[in-house]
Amino acid sequence: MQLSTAIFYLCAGLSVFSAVRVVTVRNVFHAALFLALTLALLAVLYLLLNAEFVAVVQLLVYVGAVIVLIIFAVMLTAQIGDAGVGQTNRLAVPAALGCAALFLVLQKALLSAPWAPTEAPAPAAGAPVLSNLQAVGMSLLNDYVYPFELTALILFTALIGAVLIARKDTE
Amino acid sequence: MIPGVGIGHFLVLSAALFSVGLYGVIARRSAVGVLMGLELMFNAANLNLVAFNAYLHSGAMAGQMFTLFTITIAAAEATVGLALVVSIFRARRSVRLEHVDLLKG
Repeated sequence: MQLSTAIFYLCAGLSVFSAVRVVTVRNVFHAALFLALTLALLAVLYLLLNAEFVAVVQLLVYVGAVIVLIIFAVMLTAQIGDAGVGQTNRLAVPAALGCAALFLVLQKALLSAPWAPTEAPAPAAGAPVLSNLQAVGMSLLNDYVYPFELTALILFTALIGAVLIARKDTE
Repeated sequence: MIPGVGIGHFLVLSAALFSVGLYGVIARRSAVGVLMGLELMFNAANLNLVAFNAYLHSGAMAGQMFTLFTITIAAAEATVGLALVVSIFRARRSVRLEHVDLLKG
C-alpha cells in the first residue's frame, strides 16, 4: 500500500471516530478538543488533495481561531460544572437512527453516481506553471475579487454584531 | 492522485461527517454542542468541494475558492453564534436549549 493511501485511510478513520466523539462525549470541553482533532485531520486530507493553501487556512482559522472561540464560550458559560448531566435530549435515539439512514442513502447514491472528470483546458503555450499558492492568489484577485471584497464586509459586520450582542448592558 | 482512493472515498467520508454533525445539531442539549455539530457539517461540505475540485475539475480553482469563502463565513457564523450563546447565558444562567423557550406558545 502506498504511503498516501495509508495516510488517507488513517485520517479518514480517525476523523470519523473523533467526530462521533464530538457529538457523544459528555464534557463539552472534551468535545471541543475532539473537534480540533477532526479539523486538523481534515487539513491533512486537503494536503493530500493538493490544496495546500486551503489546508493552511483550515489550520489557522478553524484550529487556531474557531476552536479557541468555542473553548472561550465553554469557559464563559460554566459548562464544565454540569458535565455529569446527560448531554442529549429525548430526540437522541430517533436522531441517531435518522442520521444513520441518511448516511446509508447518501453512501449508496454517491458510490453509484458516475463521476466524470471535466477535461482541463490545455494551458496556453509558454504559460507559467503556477504553484497552488500562486493559483489561489491569481484567482482570488481576478475572478473572485468582488466576493473577496464582500467577505471583508461580512467579517466586519460579524465583528460589530458579536461585540454588540455579547457586551454587558452598562446603562 | 492517491493510488486506490477515488472521489467516492472522499464523498462517503464527507457524508459520514455530515450525518454525525446533523446528529449533533439535533440531539445535543447545550448550545455550544449544537454549534460544534454545525462546524462538522460545514467541514463536510468543504471536503466535498475540495475533492470535486481535485478529481473532477483539476484545471480550475472554483472548489478551493468556494472552500475559502465557506471557511470565512463559518468563522463569522461561529463568532456571532457564540456571542449569542454568551448573551443567552447572561440572561438565563443556562445554555441548555430546552431552557430557551421564550417564544414557545
